Amino acid sequence: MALLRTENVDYVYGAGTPFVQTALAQISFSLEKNEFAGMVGATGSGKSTLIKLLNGLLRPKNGRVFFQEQDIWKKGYDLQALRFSVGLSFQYPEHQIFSDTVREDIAYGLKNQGISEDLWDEKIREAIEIVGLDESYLSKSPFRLSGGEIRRVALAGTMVVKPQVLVLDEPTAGLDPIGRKMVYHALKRFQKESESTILVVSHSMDDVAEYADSLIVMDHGKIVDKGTPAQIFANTANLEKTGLAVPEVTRLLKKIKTAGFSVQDTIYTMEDAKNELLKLLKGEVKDE
Amino acid sequence: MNDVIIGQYIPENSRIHRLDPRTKILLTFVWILTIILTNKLLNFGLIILFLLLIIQLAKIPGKSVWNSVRPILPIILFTSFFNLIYTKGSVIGSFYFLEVTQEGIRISVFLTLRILLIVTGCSLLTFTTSLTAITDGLESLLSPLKKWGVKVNDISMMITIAIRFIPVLSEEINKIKEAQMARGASFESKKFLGKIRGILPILVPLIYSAFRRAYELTTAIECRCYNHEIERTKMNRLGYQKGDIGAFGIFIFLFVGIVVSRFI
Ligand SMILES: Nc1ncnc2c1ncn2[C@@H]1O[C@H](COP(=O)(O)OP(=O)(O)O)[C@@H](O)[C@H]1O
Ligand SMILES: [Mg+2]
Repeated sequence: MALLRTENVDYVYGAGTPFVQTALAQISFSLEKNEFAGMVGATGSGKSTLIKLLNGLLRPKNGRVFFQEQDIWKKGYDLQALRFSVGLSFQYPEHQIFSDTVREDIAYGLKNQGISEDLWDEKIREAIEIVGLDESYLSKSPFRLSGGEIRRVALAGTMVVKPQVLVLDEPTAGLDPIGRKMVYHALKRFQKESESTILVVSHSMDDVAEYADSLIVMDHGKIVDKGTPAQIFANTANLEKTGLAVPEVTRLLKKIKTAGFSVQDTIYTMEDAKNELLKLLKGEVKDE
Repeated sequence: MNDVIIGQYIPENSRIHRLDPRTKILLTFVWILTIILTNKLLNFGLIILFLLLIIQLAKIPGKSVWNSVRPILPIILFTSFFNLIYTKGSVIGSFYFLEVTQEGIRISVFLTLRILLIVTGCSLLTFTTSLTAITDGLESLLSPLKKWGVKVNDISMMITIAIRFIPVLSEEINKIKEAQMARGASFESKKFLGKIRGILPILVPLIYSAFRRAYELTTAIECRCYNHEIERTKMNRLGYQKGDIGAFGIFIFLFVGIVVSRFI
């Protein structure tokens, strides 16, 4: 049973104005419990629109969205409750921060959920710890933090209500390599500790290849490919048609292979690439 | 909420689009004056017909016009309601302690019509005139003031930026609102205090982002060596055509007609 799924959803912006724009057409996909999924696609392919359908911020023109096999647009369905189960973190989530202290900002979700204040402290401490910051940050002003830190504070603000599905739009946009690593570590940890499902939207192949169990490829409002990273990256031509590229390490190994060395070219994480290259080097040394 | 397009230029090739921007700016003022001076229901009817004709000529979809007046409807309802119950005169009906008078109805109907017509007229200017054209027009119209040391270039630049950022900010509001709703915020609180408190999570990030944009824009402008003291040349020089003379003729006829009919 899928935890969250869409069935043939369409979405159109500006219907009835001169600016009509079909953003999504016939999208069907599902997320399983405890899955770490990645969604890739060129800018404008409809990724951000699609994720807003998942927690009922946008209503599809056609098609249906199911959470735990319940149609979320059925009469009487509690959309506000859904938003605590399907947490959504927008691109540049720090732009939505409005409180004087980090603590207050993280507490916003708890307040909206109506959780008694006695329980806040523990939940907030847990959340800030998962994103790799310590308690001293709680009393700081969020506007004084570095880019990577404030991003993780915003992330903690979404994680604090323990959503069963956590959806993130370009969570590492504008961050340096260390900041990116910290964000993905926090996501992995959150997934493990609260057995959540995670969907990360990104256009960095290297990032999703490293962390995702499954990938969805979007192009011009449609899903053009689905599968494990290995399956997706095996078909380079298909991927490049949508304006994307395979991860850097995969490209490197493919080049080494075309140069006549026997290496596996379906590798897409740094760790596997390192092992494969070491094998190659050691093998060559032995041959001499 | 997703399709707020106030201040948005709708490219088309219509007679109205082709008018000189100076004509359209000046006629917008004539339009406002005409409407303020209109005081007969019949004349309002004629003016509405005239406006519909212009909308038709400009090939602007009705939905866009509706979207431009929709945000101010609450204000209109609010003011007309108070005009309706606070105007003294010959009573024609009452609920509890509220009295509705003939004068009250007249004033609130006229007020509603005036606001609607003025707003629609002004949005027609922005629907049919690109921002560059509006700026060029303003600059040209204000240029006599240069003699007295008024920085006309700066003023027109500021006005352009302000107009340009209306859709940007309304999009921003939408984005922030969605982000807070994703964190479980509900903006449907009935209580007044709840409403005020609900505004802060939108207002603070909005102001913050407006400043961030302002700084980015300043840097961008400086990087391009913008300097108001340098006279810039224009790619498209403005020039009045036959259509402009016709438009002036029609609007002045309308204006004079309305003024004269006040005395009949
Ligand atoms: N608020 C909006 N109004 C009108 N069109 C939009 C809006 N948001 C996105 N679009 C359009 O919908 C399409 C998909 O956009 P989006 O979902 O943001 O793609 P992505 O996140 O993959 O870059 C694009 O063509 C974009 O121009
Ligand atoms: Mg996007």
